[in-house]
Amino acid sequence: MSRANKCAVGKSAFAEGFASALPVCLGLIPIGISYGLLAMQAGLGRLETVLMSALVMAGSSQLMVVGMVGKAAVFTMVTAVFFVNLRHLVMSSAVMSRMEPTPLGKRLLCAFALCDESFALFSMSGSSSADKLLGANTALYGTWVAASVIGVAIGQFLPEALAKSFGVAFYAAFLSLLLPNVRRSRSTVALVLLTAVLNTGLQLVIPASWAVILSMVLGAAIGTFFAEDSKNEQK
Amino acid sequence: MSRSDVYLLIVGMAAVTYIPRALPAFFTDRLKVGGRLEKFLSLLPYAAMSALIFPGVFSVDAEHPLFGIAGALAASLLALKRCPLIVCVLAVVAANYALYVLI
Repeated sequence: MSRANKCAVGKSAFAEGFASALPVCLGLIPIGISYGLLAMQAGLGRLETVLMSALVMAGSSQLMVVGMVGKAAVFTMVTAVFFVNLRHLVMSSAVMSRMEPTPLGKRLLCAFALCDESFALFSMSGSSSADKLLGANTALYGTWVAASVIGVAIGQFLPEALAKSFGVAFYAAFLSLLLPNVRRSRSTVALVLLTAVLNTGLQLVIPASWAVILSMVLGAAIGTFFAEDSKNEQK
Repeated sequence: MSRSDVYLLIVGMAAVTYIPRALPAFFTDRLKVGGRLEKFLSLLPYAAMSALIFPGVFSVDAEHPLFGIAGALAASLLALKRCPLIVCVLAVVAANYALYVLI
């Protein structure tokens, strides 16, 4: 293949990946806006909120941190984020092993915005093209950052009285992320209950934010013994 | 939290999120992540959500504990009906706001 041809194929794979991600991007928009809104309410600055989305690109961990800000030390929050996002190691290893031979730099770029959604798209399409993955990642990344910006913008104009009501908003957000998945299986319900009980008990003896991390890790560990095998689930 | 704390937080989050994503790029042979470990990693987000919700949700507002519980129940109903996240959040905030104003 001539160089020009290779470039052309690369570009169209990118476009294909980009287009395939668009339906999923639509679903990301409300979550991104919610994140932006909640982050502002938690006291994060505008730039900081958007920067977090731009550098981390991991919705559930960002929402989690927004719920912990002010109540936990930085080190604690970063540790929690580490555990919650550890699954990316598995997803990335699956992607990298299936990917066609690609220069290291491009692989590292693919890794940057790899998320549940692009992993699912990549796996389901049976593709092995790095450009296609990059296309999907770019669409998702752009949507996520843009939605965060919109959330920040809306957050600016909320009247102060409303801010007080946001206390329960974090829980609403987490519940809405968790419950649809819980419907699927009894073992997830058991996992949720187990972790809740562990957390409540641990909080009697250790600081709350560490209890969250410990109960999360323990709960998931014990869960491996009774959880059913599940397919890749989207957030 | 001070400004510099927040930036430290963001950088920390970015690092602990990107490193696990990037590491496999160096090993194109599949990293041997065994069955149990893989399952553990996929369960972590659910466990995390659960730990974040319980028991915290019962103490959202010390003066009016019922508001927190009522809000959580409302959110649960909406979530189980598969309402999008933003709808759940906005509906619950609106209801909560109404409660504060009326009571």
